[in-house]
Amino acid sequence: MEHLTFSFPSEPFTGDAAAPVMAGVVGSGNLEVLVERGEPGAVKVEVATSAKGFGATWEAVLSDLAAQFAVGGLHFSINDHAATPAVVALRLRQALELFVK
Amino acid sequence: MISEKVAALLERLFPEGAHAEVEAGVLSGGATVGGETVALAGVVDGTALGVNEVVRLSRALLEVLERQPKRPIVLLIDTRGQRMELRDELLGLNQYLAHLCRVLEMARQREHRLVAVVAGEALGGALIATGLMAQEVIALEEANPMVMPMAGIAAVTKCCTTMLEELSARNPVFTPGADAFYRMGGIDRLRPADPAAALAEALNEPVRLADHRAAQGEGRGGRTKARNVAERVVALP
Amino acid sequence: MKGSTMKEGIRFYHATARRRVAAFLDEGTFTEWLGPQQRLTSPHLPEFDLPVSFDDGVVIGCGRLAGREVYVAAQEGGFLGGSIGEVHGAKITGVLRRAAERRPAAVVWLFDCGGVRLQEANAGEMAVSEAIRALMACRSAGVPVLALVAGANGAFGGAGILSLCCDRVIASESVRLGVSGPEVIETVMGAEAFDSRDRALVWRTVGGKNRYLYGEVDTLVEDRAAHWREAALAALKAIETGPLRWSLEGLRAESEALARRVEQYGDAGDALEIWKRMGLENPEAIPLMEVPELVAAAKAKGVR
Repeated sequence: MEHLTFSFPSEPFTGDAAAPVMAGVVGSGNLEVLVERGEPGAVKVEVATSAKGFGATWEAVLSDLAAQFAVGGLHFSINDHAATPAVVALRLRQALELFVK
Repeated sequence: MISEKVAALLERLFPEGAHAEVEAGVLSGGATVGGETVALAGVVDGTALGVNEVVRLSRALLEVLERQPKRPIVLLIDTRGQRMELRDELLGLNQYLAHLCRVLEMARQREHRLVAVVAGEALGGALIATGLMAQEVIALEEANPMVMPMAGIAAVTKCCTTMLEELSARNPVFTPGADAFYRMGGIDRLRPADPAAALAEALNEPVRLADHRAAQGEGRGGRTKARNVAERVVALP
Repeated sequence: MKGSTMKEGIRFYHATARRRVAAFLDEGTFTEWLGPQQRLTSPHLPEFDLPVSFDDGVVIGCGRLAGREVYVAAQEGGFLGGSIGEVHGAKITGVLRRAAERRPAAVVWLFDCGGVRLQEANAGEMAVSEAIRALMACRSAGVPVLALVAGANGAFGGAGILSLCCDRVIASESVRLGVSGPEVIETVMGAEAFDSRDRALVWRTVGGKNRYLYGEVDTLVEDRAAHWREAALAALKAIETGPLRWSLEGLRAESEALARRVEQYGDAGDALEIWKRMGLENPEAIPLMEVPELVAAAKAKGVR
């Protein structure tokens, strides 16, 4: 397993959402994403992944998220079982959508 | 006709005397312990626990529950596990094993002291439905309880046996055998020097319905989370 | 309301555990306990270099079913086959123990479980046993426990046993219940014993329809949220008004029924022969029948 931590600047999240949400399932080729309120400021992401050596890919996908959405002050926690970047991006968006609801 | 193996076991466990019948691997009978009559029931001679065996065992146990209120019951267990045949799955073996669990639980709730003696193998579903339903489990020298043989675990988890063996030296959580189950909290008396005395002691314990095994497993370092997690759910406001 | 119609139609088979719970309970009534933010993960999976799940593959909590307070446990089949590990099992045992004390209207267990998690085999086995005892104590306290077997893993191994310790078993036609999976039997005993690649054989042997026809499954439902809810409510009513199964008399009756099943069908060899002996016309058509058609046919022949 590889454990990665990221922090990106992002527009502050302005929604009312308080309760943590989960999207996805830790199955082969899949991942689960937990979204919670975190420290104000940057968006923080913690990744536990069974696919080692993809730090740069995670950085790219996550920095995209931070750039596209106002997620500053949110905390994403991920348990990943070798999902493709496309699936990762999808789950992140699903989690965010659920969080906003 | 009982096998030499079973005869020897009865002699070892019941110095005050015992009598048993074994029909196609299912045992029923009685014994005297501390001057008190106890009922005997079980699966012996490495017989697999299938639908036929459950029917016989269930009838033997229900006889005791219906006719001998509060009579202590000793379960003798030496089974190679649930019967792995299409026939038994076709007929719904899972329901039969569940039924057996419920009969044994009813025995305990009706204040029959229930002690299991694992005298051989006890695998998977058969272990769940027999030994693990008892108030106390005694594992003899020859006991070898397990969920599945290591080779099977290796195949299903796609791990090599060497790696599993290394892991199991550090962590008893999947290792076959009585020592691992003892550490999990599932066995109460491990290889007692005097099995007959241990059995007599166990039968002398008052009926206790509360399940202390997770705490037992925690105390022995085998299960560090189970007790706490269950308690947290109960304790929620 | 459009929202509720959509929710009523949700199929459970491929849904996540959380989605099943949300579709099953009254809208907005679910409170999750020991949820993912608590991060109660498996202490054993990291030793296998496997990812954990923040809820260890089971969603527990309370909510309302047609206004009545119920506790739920829903297994996540997508995580290690919904298998029972140390934490997973303890969460469920906790729900059952809490129910025995607090007495909700029912405990509803949405099964999707291939059995004990082998990486934690012994802890899983203990968890099954502890759950069985807690389940029976819950029933003894007068709180019904319902098994809803809804997911692709069905209820196998220890879960096959646990589901049949419940007051009532409700299953859809596409799920399977048993102890040893066909693949396991084939591996251990050979393909002559059980050809696990013969899907039709597998389905008619361990599938919901066979289990329903001879009474292992109490209610067979079409896989729609509305039907699961309806069946659960009907089961609760049947428990209130029917003969007590969890009694010495009930166990004796079950013992005799199980003995009869072996007498009547023990040499049948195949489910088709069992169904023929039940007097069902055209047994070969049964695997293709829709649930309402099958239920009606079984009723007409006095089978159910």
